[in-house]
Amino acid sequence: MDRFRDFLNNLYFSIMKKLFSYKTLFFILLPAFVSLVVWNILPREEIDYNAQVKPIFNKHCISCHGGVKKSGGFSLLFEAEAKGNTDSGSPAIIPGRPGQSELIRRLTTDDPEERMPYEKPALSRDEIKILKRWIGQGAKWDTHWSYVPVKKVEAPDGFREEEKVRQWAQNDIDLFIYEKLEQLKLSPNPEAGTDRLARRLSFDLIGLPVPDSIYAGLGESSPETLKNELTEVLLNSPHFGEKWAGIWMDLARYSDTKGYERDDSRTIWKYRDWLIKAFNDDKPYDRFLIEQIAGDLLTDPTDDQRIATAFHRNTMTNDEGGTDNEEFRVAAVVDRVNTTWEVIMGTTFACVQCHGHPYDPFTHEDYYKFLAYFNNSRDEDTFDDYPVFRHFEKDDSIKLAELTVWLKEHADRSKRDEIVKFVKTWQPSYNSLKSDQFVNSELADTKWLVFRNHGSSRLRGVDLNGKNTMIYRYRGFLPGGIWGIHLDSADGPLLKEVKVEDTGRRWTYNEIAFDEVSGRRDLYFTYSNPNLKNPLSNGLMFDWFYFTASFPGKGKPGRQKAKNDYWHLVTRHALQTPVMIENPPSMSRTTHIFDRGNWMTPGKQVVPGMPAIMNALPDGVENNRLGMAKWLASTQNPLTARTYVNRIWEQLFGSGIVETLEDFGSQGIPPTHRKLLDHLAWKFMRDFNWSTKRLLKYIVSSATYQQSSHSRPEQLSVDPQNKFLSRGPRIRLTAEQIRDQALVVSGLFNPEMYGPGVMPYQPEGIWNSPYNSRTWTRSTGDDIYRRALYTYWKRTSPYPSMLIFDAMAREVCASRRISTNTPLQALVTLNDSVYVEASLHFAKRMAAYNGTIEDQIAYGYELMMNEKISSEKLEILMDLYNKVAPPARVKRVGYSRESPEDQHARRMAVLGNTMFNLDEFLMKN
Amino acid sequence: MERREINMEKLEAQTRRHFIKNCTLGLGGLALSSLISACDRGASGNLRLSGPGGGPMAPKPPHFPGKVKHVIYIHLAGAPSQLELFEYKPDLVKLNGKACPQSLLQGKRFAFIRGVPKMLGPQAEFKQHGESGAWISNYLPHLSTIADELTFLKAVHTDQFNHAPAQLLMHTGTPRLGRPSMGSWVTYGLGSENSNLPGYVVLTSGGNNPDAGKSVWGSGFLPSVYQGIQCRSDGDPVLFINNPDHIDRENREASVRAINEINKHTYDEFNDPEILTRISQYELAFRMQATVPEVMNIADEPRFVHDMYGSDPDRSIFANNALLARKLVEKGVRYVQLFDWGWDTHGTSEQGSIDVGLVNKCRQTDKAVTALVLDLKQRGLLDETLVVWGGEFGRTPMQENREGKTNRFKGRDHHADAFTMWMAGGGLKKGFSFGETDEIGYSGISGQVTPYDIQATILHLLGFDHEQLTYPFQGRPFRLTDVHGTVIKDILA
Amino acid sequence: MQIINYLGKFHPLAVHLPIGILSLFLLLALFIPRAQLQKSGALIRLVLLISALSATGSSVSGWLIANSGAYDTKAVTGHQVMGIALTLVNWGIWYKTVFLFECKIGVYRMTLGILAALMILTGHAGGSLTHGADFLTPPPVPVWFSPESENQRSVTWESSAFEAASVIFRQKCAGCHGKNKQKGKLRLDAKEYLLKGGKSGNPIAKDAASSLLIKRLLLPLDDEDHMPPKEKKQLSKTEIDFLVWWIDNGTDFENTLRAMNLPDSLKGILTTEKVTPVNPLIPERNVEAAHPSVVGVLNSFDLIVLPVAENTNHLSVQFVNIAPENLGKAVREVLKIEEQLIWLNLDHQHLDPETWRTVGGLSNLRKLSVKDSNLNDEGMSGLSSLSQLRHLNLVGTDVSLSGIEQIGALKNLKKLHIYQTQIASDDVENIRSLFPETDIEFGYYEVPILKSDTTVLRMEDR
Repeated sequence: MDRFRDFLNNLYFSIMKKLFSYKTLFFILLPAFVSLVVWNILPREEIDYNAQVKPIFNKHCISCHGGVKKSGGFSLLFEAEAKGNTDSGSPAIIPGRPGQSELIRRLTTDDPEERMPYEKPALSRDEIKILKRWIGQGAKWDTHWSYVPVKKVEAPDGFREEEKVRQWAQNDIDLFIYEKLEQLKLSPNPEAGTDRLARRLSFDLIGLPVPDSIYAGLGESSPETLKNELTEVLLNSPHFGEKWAGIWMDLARYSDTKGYERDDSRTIWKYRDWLIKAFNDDKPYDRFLIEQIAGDLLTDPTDDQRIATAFHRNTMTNDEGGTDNEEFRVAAVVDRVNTTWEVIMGTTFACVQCHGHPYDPFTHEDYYKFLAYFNNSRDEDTFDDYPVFRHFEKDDSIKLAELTVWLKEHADRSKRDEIVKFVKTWQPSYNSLKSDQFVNSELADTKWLVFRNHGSSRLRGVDLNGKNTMIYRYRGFLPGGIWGIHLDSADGPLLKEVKVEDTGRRWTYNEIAFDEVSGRRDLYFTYSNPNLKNPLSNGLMFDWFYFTASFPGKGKPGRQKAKNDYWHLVTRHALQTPVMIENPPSMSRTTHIFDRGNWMTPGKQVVPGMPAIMNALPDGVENNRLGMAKWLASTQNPLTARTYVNRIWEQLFGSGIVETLEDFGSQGIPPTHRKLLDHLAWKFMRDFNWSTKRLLKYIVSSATYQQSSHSRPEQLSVDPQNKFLSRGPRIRLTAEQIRDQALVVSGLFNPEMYGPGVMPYQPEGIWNSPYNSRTWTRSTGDDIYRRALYTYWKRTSPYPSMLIFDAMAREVCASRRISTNTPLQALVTLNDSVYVEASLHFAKRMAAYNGTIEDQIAYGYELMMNEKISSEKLEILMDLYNKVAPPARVKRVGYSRESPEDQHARRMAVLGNTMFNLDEFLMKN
Repeated sequence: MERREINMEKLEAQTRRHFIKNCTLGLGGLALSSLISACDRGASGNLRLSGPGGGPMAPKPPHFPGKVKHVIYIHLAGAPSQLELFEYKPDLVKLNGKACPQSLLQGKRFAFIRGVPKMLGPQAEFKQHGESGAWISNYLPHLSTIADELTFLKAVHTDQFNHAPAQLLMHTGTPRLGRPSMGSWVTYGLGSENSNLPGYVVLTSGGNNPDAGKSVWGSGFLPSVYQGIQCRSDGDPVLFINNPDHIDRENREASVRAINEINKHTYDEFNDPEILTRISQYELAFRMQATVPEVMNIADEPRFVHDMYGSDPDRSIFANNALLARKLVEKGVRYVQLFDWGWDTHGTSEQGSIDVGLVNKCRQTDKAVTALVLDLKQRGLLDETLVVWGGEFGRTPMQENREGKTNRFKGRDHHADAFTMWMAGGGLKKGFSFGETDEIGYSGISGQVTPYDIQATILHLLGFDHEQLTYPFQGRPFRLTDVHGTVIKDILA
Repeated sequence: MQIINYLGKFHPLAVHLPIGILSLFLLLALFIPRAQLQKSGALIRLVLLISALSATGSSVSGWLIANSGAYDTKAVTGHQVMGIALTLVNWGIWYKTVFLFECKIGVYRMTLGILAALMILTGHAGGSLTHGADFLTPPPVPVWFSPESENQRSVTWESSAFEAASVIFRQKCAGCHGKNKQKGKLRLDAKEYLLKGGKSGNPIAKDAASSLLIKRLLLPLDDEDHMPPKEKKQLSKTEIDFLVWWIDNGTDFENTLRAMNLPDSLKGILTTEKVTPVNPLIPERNVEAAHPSVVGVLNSFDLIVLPVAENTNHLSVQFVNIAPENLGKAVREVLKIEEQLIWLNLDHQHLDPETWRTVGGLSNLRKLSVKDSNLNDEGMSGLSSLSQLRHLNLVGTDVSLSGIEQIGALKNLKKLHIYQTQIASDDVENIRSLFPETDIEFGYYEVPILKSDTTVLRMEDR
């Protein structure tokens, strides 16, 4: 045993001696120790919550631990909840201590009962490593990039001086683009030819091919100045407004009909005219939003500002017999909230109607606090789309002006405003469909209060303070009716008794005075008519009731004329546009949370307010719809500018910097050039002062935009969808552009602007809505060649050829059109009468050009493409020209008798139809 | 122009934006895992198996082997009265004319019934038919002969009592506008075999479109290639299918050939894969100009077929659409949707009454529906086709008293709580009835199913797990059945 | 105050110093006999002094971090007490080093033992605090080692009532009341634990109604105490009824189900192989995938070649879009995927007799449709080799009775469609006798023409 111990001792001592000799100490231990320290202190690459951690949560955890379901009382949506105590009493994430965090333990444990994600495949090793390092680095939580207000972003100038870049880049945009291309080892394309670029610019800015008038005026100038001049001319062309109004109409779900079963017509085209003027006058985008959201609440709103609010009256109303008006009013208000968030702030707020947002930090309550801003509007799903703005022309408008002047002198300010508002909007009036407690009375077709003999009904909570006059719109079906108005109960004190005459099936108005009563009272209407024999037939029908004080200025000169003008204007049949009008205090509604989104189960009452994640209400602003509009349009709102700039980018390049225009949240596709987006948003708000035209000029003058759209194989393999813009945009024209181009090139185009919808050719039998006898009566004269923008749009049977080219039916707001490529589209441009007629005129135009057949074809091609035809293409067309055999009909008549001119015309017609179907003609190259 | 010379692989290239792209969005934008399996609907597994033209309509395999490959959905717009056709309620005979008990009206909302209506007994005589002993009334003499082919759902219920929202719920999974219809989901999921014909065809009759308009066969947020193509018996069967007068078939062929040759040059210049897709679409359009009119033309069908269906080429009647449905399915069309308007029997007019109007509607359709089922059976198509028959809701056991006055004719109001539908075809228990209603047919007492369950069952028979057939929109994967729906296992064979 | 708390963070680092030095001291004491050690007593005292000082430092930082509240107090106190004791013993030994060398060897070894034990225990407690209690638990024994995993054991007439009950317990309860976790201290996966019961006593009483086990099972689903918990898999109705029956019959552990004559309403408890409805048109065993190049060639003929479902290699082929001139070549090419091909559609195709014979070579074919094709009796002979065929659609072909007789060998045929063929109605009888198992669909249905079909009813003639 001792020998063994000695051996051990010797061994021990020899090792210790060698270990502690200076040489080994210096060369082995010290470097080992230093590297250990360095490895520990070296700052690990900081984990980016948004790019690395949030997607893992979205993919694996948030469906059970998010806004919708909080199993185990643990949610990863809000920082406070994620780091707060869960049902188990202790927090799941302990910053700085991955070993202790229940989150990590649950991911790595092997007990199937406890391993998360429960009953789904486990997280991958490096996903768990990311989470561990993230918690180790303190579980830093930062908000999603799109909820952080926009800051100024300078262009990357690392390579500004490089020769290649200096030659290519035209402005800062190109530097951002070049930076990304550099990473992908792609090089940008050279500039496109001037002719092709002019066509691209023309479609992007005014949605039409380059009109001859514009092009001729430019004369011969260097390519550089030519581009700038062309851009200026196009930006100032009146057609500019038409193109951009068309895009906004998709967002506003504009339609000339009301939707659902009857889908009856609605006059709202004045709103389209307002849009066109707004874009042509380059109205700053913040004013543009405020007027559309709350134009009626501005001080002394002009007529145009009231018409602007028709933006949110594009919602659908349901006239189907037997529908509950309150249900479809609520549906309209919900649609307004969803559209506001999707169109103006690119957020999928609609999810939050039924539960908390699954991925983005919006709670269920946030939805209804925002809905409260819209919940006090006067519209109640009436048949005539009340409240409406009544338009007065020529002498009526003179009468109105005179009345206003007279009132200025003889009535106080509030009375004057009240009268002018009533004349223009018939508001604030009580709709008869709000009546209840029917006895021998009913809502005819759930729309109008109607009485039978000995009928009675109640109108609840009428504000009678300071009121002694009532104006109402009604129909008497037979003479001898007695209509009694009682207070507080059917046999309560009689406020007024009115004789009702036969109004011959026409809506008539009447004004009655009654002695003043105070307070908000229930009015009980009774009706009896001895001449009414059949107990089942109706005697009297109402539309609305308006309570006011008597006409002012008693005994003042000219009062009678003013009163006559007033009555003339009130009862005048005028063009009506549905607009937004706020409920007066006496009619205001409270807003409640809908439990699980169902309007039949109202929950807690809420007060208007903003989601916590967003910027607060700008100070010194009222907390109402106007305040909310200003909040939308403030530079502090992180989403408004980015969404709009992204939409402009999508219109020019075919796909936005954030591809999912409708979703800037954590589930949307992340932006390809985030810094560029913030750079543009900042410049748009600050330098361009929200001007759309200056933003467009800035983008179209960039080299990125002016690149040629040829694709090289390596571009196709690395970036097939051209998201990093290594080449110019090559996308199919929209449905409207394809039609307008055919009209312009064939010479049929009618540039007339503004006005109601027109009805160009449409095949028979498309319109077939039940209970709606309205038919598609083709417009006369050259109205049928108006721009596609003005085509009458019926929601449940949209214009077929545009629908086939991916236009949206506009039942709901559509942020972007998914473009497709189908045989039916080929059939439209080959055989639709609109395109056939256009190609015939185009053929005549070619045939009229004096020159050889080749010259005529070349001339036609230049009209189409704004550039010279290549020899191969010309040869193919000539080959076709010779091959065109006479159709059977002519063969029967005898081929010889057809004159050379007829034969030439027929062959050119086939050529015209063929050329209108070329791929490059349907594309923006 | 040698088709193979143009490399067909390129045709598989993505069109703009998200539509059927390779869905590798990178970790950043990854949506729910189920989305991934749904997204690769474009490329079917490792084998590039799709036929010519590739692209959106190329046929794709379902999640699991389906029992059927085609669907013919017959929707009676207006809601046929189940109490006159399939629900024999002797107690209702006794209650005829008596006031409706308050318990039935408590907390219920009706479209037109106000105050206290009277009960209304059945107007038809009922008998049991076939070995299955299914109750069918004398309004449907022909259908009674094939009772053993049918699978009844006696306790269907919905929460919409107005036509447009209820039809939207039945066909698009939500009572509001804007969602894709069932036919769009099926062609998005399976594509269509015959590339010379549209995959999803709609045929309407009865004088009007259905109450919800075109949205009931719209493609919603799915790409517009999946919308239902309305075939019309008068004028162009498919819009713009016929050439203009001055261009006949040969000229059209020459012009299409010239177009594609020029496009080939444009392709050489731009190298944009989109051009190749357009070239094949123009060829397809040219072929469709021949195949569609041929299949849609029923004039030269043999006499005995017209006798069987009661169809007549000179009039546009429901029977013609039933015959066309069989011809389209025989040629490989995936989903055929028939709408017949006019079943809304409130009793406000003679043709809108359950003792006259309903009889005439039955006479217009009974023979053709029966002929369709038998014709499919004898041609060996019924095993791989699913026929669905039904309305958007049922009708009340009470007589309608619109605006508090009993209507002039006998009619029933809309009734969402219980109605009857039937199915026939592959994968179903034949001669079987599922679900029962109480003694006056007011509400279901067992086997209640919702429109979502019916949609889930149809998708199941086609080989789909209805929760995995999704499309990403507004930040989440949408489904036909939204967040509801369970497959009705009891009726599956 | 903030910095002091910050110092607490160094506790895990500081702790390692005393451990290192003490273990050095212990190793020295182990290897070097006490006498020799005493010679370098000064060195040892210095070592002990340094370790004592560092131990005190780490105790202080330990105390700071304990108060920062990051840990729950219960786990910390044990560690804290042992840590302080270790420091005191350390100081003790330093102060009394002389005594250490003088005292009896037993006492010397005993103090060293105490010192080592204290160090190891403190270290272990600290470690489990930072890295979690099961940080060092060895990975579970791989499944194939553990005894035949019980919950798959099948229940037959011969297995005892208890075995049947324990299969239910293992499938539905072992998750929280099993080997590695006993919620409410209750364990159900073995007889002795069952009888011992848990915190609230024995789950099984003299009859089912009063047994806690049954009461908990029958509580409404959303009741807090309902077992199994809401989100877990629930017991089926037959399983609950079986447990009630088992307890009411005296919770018998020995007798077999047959002996206790299990009522047939509970037969559902017996494991029957889950008979998934077999789709006759799909072979059970999968095949490996066809070679993509072969399929590529088929596609170039515009054939539609599709797997019958997403995750299977069985293929179906559809000829509808094929150009007539490629027919012959295409069918020969199709032979190359003979193993995978189970469904074939040749509707409306006109093949030459030679090609019809090649179709016969597709041995795995289960569904063949040749509707309105030019197949005739002569071609039928080619099809006689399709032994797996289940569905055959001959509608609209020129096949007659003699053609059908040639395929008499196809015993698996389930469906045969012979509408609009050359077969006369009186041939159908002996075709039926030829194929007793097959559903013969002859068709020629009539829908009678009724007067009412074309007359419009009016109110007056009602």
